[in-house]
Amino acid sequence: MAKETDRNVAPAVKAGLRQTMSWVHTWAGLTLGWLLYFMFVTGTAGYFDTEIDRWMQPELPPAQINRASTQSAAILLGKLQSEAPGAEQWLLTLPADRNQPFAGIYWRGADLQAGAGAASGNKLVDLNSGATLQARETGGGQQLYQMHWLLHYTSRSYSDWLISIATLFMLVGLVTGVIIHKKIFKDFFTFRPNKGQRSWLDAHNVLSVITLPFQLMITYSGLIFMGFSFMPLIVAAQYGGEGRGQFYNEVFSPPGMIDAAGSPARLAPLAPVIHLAEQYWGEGRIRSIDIRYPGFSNGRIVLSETIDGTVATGAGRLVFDGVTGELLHNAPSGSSPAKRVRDVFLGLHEGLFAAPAIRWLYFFSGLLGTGMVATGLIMWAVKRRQRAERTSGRRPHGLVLVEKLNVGTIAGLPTAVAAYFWANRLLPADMPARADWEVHALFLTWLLMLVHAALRPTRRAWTEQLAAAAFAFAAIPLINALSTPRHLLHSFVSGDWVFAGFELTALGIASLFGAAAWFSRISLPAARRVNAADHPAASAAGAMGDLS
Amino acid sequence: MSTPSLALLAQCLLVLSAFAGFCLAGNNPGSHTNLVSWRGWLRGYGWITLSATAVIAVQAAGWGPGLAGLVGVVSFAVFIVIGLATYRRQFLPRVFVIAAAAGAATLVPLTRAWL
Repeated sequence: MAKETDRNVAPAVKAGLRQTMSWVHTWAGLTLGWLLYFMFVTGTAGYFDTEIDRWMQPELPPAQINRASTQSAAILLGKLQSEAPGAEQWLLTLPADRNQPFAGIYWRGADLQAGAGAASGNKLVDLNSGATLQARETGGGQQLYQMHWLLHYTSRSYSDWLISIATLFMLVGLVTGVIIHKKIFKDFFTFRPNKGQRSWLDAHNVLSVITLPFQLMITYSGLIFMGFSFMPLIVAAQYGGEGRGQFYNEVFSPPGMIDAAGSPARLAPLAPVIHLAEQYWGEGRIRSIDIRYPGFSNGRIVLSETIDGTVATGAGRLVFDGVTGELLHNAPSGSSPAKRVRDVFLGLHEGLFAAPAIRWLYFFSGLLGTGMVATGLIMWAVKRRQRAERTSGRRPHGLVLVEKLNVGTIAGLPTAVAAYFWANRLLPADMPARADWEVHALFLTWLLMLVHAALRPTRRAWTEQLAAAAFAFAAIPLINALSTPRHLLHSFVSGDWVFAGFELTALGIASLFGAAAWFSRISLPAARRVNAADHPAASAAGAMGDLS
Repeated sequence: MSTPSLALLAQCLLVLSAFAGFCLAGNNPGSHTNLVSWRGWLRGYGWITLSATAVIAVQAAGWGPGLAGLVGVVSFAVFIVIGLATYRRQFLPRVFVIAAAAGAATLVPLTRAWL
């Protein structure tokens, strides 16, 4: 009877905690590993979203931060009064820090009969001349960053769930990874190169362990980001099925707003309002001025604070009466302990507070996280290929599929990102739906890389795609030099470190991919390379470049 | 050099020396057999230095940005130490000494700026 019972116990239970967790870790990592890789690549690029925005709009002048708020606001207000009269909302964004290098205006509900050019719109404004800043249409770094969680072609209802599940799998992967890593402290500094599968495991462990606090933070905060989407019942329990809007209004909208405009009245002057806000927050720390129902008796002026001085994303807000200029509400950034915690996690995730050096560390951690996902995916394939070759000598279809997806995604996606930057410079400036085609270029290139990976022997495909990625990134400064006057030398001479930094980073990434292509080529002796080209399954062993 | 930049440089150097010390003290590719009797001291130095670096980080940038930056610094420093332990292990003792000395040297102007 006892023996019968033992036989009925699931193998996973009998195997012990570590082996069970190892199974969970392996399959949680593989199932959505390519999606996680995409999220890591685009998310890591997103830490320099504003810098990428600026590189992708070379027509824009240098950043216009550190201007007097009163003067900037007067210029923007004048522009809105002339271009968007009778609007329900005017939003003036002031160039306060790295996150907002230029002044901008946004309006909605403008009166076309009163002379408004459009009912709604937004523009960047040159604070030197008051003119609209003209630049090519592009999705810029924001588009690249938003792909990280919107996935671009899917609707929010799908992408939110996909991203949430992938993030949940990532968290499961991290926790199970810690459990199954028996020698997490003993092997803390251990990386053994040129030992095939062992090297991939070491690389995966090293990349995971040294960025573990970052990975835990980014994953947990990512789940908090998506919390209202994949845990809708939390809101519904308190506000009912239809009460989502009310919840958002209570938690995120400024207090004291009134829906009706009221009767016509003169808008309060902005200078005293700005002066009072700067007494609260300090000079130059106003991020935006949001005017609701300007020129009406129920008008409100909402000033928001910059968020570069704190980790939390939530901004302090001051709400003024739009006619008298009287301060109605002082709403601190964290309106409740729960919101304060959420703001801190979101702030840590986005890193908007980070000064340049910390931003580079975020980027570095993101790169290592990308490497962690990549090495995990590669290790899955390497381990099973070696096992398959020892037993049957044939690779199962599932393994072949994973290997092809690995090449086309791990090496192919970076080439696709480079294609996004190429498209920005090569597509005609007046092309309709230009920004959309930049993104299409990215995904079409990725598709091309996947097709290439499917058609070529795996080892060759790795080398060719890594070399393609190296070439694609190395060519970015050249294409920029041929298509704009702001070439790398010009950037050095003029001290334009945003442009220079972007292109030097592209060259740095190119050299990393070049080195990877080189090592993947030389990791096998010449005779075996020929063999590998003809019989990719035969090239199992090798050094760290044990990829075929 | 501005005070925040100097504080970050001090953190990088001190954390690098702390983890170089841990690596030299451990049983791993970067450890040295002739440092066996120093292992306790190296580990002690590492923990004390990491604690001091946390104080510097918080003093320089506050609890939030300071500790967030320190986590990044630790990842960066460990990455360098692992690279050295793997490919240039003979440099590790020198890196430990130089980083510790340079880190201590940066504390002088930093302390002056804060006091």
